[in-house]
Amino acid sequence: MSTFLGWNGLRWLNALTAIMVLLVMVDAFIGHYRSGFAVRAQYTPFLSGGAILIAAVLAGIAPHEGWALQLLLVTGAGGVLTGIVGAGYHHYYGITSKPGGYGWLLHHLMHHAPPLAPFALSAVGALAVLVATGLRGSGAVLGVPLRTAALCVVAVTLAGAALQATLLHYRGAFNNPLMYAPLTTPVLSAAAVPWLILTRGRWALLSVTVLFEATFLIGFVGLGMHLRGFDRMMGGLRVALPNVLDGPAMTAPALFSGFAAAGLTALYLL
Amino acid sequence: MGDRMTRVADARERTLTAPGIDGERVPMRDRSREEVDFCIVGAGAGGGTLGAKLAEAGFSVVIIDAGPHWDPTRDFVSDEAASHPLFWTDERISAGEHPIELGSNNSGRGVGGSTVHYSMIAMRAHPDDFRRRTILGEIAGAELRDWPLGYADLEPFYEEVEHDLQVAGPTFYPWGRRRKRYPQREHDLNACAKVLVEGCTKLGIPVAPAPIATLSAPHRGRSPCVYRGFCNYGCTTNAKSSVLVTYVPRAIRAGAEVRPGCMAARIEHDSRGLATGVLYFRADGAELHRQRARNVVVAGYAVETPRLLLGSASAMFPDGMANSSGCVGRCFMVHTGDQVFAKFPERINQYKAPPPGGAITEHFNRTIPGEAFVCGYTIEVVGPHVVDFASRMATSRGLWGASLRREMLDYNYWSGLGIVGEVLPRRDNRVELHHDERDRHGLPIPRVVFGYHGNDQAIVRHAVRQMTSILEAAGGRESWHADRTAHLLGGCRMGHDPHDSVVDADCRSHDVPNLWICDGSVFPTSAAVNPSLTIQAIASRTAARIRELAARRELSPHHGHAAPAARIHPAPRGTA
Ligand SMILES: Cc1cc2nc3c(=O)[nH]c(=O)nc-3n(C[C@H](O)[C@H](O)[C@H](O)COP(=O)(O)OP(=O)(O)OC[C@H]3O[C@@H](n4cnc5c(N)ncnc54)[C@H](O)[C@@H]3O)c2cc1C
Ligand code: SF4
Repeated sequence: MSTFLGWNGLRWLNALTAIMVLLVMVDAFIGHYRSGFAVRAQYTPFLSGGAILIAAVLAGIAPHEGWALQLLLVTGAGGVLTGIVGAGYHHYYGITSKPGGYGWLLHHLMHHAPPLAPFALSAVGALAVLVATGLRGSGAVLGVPLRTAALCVVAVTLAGAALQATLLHYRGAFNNPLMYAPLTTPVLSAAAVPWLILTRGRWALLSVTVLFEATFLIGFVGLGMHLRGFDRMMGGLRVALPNVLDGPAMTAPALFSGFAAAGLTALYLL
Repeated sequence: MGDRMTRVADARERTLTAPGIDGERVPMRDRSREEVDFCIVGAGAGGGTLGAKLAEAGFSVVIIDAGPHWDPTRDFVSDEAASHPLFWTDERISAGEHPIELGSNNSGRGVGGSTVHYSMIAMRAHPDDFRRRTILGEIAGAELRDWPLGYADLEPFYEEVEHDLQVAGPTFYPWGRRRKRYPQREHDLNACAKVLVEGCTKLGIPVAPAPIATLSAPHRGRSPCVYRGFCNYGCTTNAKSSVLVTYVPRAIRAGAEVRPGCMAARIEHDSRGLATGVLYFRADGAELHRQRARNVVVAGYAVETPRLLLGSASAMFPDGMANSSGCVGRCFMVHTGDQVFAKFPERINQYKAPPPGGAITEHFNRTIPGEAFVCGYTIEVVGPHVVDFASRMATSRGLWGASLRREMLDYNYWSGLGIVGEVLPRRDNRVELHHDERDRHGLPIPRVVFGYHGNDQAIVRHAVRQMTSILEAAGGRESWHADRTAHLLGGCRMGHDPHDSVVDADCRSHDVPNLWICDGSVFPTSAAVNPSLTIQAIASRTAARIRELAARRELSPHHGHAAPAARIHPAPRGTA
């Protein structure tokens, strides 16, 4: 297995898992704080995400300790499950229980609990499971080779994130042309991954690489633009708290960078 | 006013400044010495929109307004009582069988007009609203007329205004013609709107997000709404797309002069009966000033517009200007705006967010089969602030003193709905001059005579029943009803027949070809939707028609004196 700056692909993926679970928790906190933690289940992402974070840090320090990897595996699986259950909660509290119910579907999708957001925790959990499996010496999860599995997780996540971002950008009436960005390379990357997996061709590899790299950059542009988004709200960054609560999702664009980096890691280091 | 000195403003060219929308001052051209292409009286929904479009088309424009030019970031305060200067509270006499309340509920004063404190519901009228006479025929006691223009004529202009205001509305609006998507997405619902949606859903009444002219996303340096709910007292954030923050800055940028604090006293004309300009008072001054103009546009809203025309009577026009038909001031209308409130077990905070809350139903905006009335009403969310609500409690429920105080402790638990109900035009409902009483300038004050048609009252009875059941279906209790009117319309209706209407479809008066009327007073019938978008669409259309007429050299007839006729080819943008 090749290495980069002395770490192999799995250790890099582990580091990315730790960073991304932190990002996911920041956005979840903002969203759940905004709705006042009205439902007790709104604390779960922090329990589950916190556990993944601790496990990833421990696995980073002790990548060969069986108990650390076991912990990462269990917390990762917990994250996958929490995300799925969370999506159910978002669906119930965001749509079903709201006035008008499904008759007001688009309204609820735009204005209430972001329907796909909880799956970000599932995605990070899946990466943790993958890392734990790999570090324990296995070359496949559920019979799928690690590299392919990692690429699949990345592709599905990028597609889902693009969908969720597009929904929220639609709510913002695409008031800045850059708001179309999630529909560009993230979507193309997601589409190109199956091509690569199925053909293993050079062009496919090159395309996916370039698309991941572009997506990596776009995430940072997005972070900057979201910061600017807060500034374009009433009072701008001088009244940061309300604007962060009400404005664009603070760390969400970084997930594009994070998963693109995970994709590149899978391509070249696994 | 002959014994008063009339003087043309200072002969020196000055560069003026006007308040910008972010607390800055913007340079503005001084046009007081010129004979301008257009002098517009009233910088509200009609006048402000028209002025911007004409200035951008290259015409020289002066817009005068009786009230101040507000600086939204400094002048507006989040205080109900302190916001009183926004309203037109000059003395008026209200008379008739059902005298209406005049003031904060229906008219504004100052640059931006009533849109400075309006509730921003941005609705289109429907195709049938323009053809009431054809559809309903003759109705005893009412004077129904078709409009000289139809929905198709206004559709592109509705779209243009919605774009200019960046109206935030639903992706699919269930009523009316199929339409292009609104420029911005709908707002989230406040608690009162949730009540409406909840109640309607339980009763099977279709309900949809409301189109509102307030930003839901940033737009050109303006921030989106912060949902604090002071819209009816001037929005301090500029999220609200009033004429003050949308068209007026555009007009000034395009070279128009917007002159606040100027109360038009009369329209002048020459020996051939063509308008030559406007005489006005500045602030509380006793002197008359003159603005010369090749065209005069009156846009002072449904009371002040007829008042100015009637007050401009002369030997040549003994019944007032543009009034050979006798229609000026006649068929004055309001919308019924009855409201029902109910108390809820949970906190509602009815003042939060723009008053329309975010939901609306036009389900009853039609002639309902089986009912004994024609036409209908729209149900909207209302959210009066504390003083306003207390006064409704006092007048509608007779509460006062300790009992009012006790009830007001629960202010945050009440939620309300209100209607925009169609009112049929009646000839006897009118604006006239009260010659015995004069305002501080010595001008006769207007007397507004109003009485409902039986149909209007039948609509209200139906609406109150429906609103009560919607509130109760949503869990509300102890409901009560406040009768109220909103929006002033008519008084200078448009039409094809010069003997039966004041202006044509282009808002040009039949009698005086260079005198135009462009505001809510031109409505022949009232339509059960909030009127400002239609007023602004008509203004945009008028601007487009004026451009066409100018290009065809049909704009204004030559004046006798040295002044040139209206510019044939509008100067290119930016030269003004
Ligand atoms: C509380 C409230 C809420 C409303 N909510 C809505 C809503 O949600 N949706 C909607 O569509 N409509 C709403 N309206 C109605 C809407 O604001 C008006 O219908 C619309 O602004 C009328 O436009 P206008 O051009 O005819 O008159 P205005 O906008 O009132 O403008 C008239 C201007 O002329 C000036 N003026 C009058 N006479 C003279 C004179 N002699 N000399 C100089 N200046 C003069 C006045 O100062 C004023 O600025 C609301 C109105 C009120 C009061
Ligand atoms: S609620 Fe929105 S539109 Fe109304 S005053 Fe506040 S910011 Fe302006």
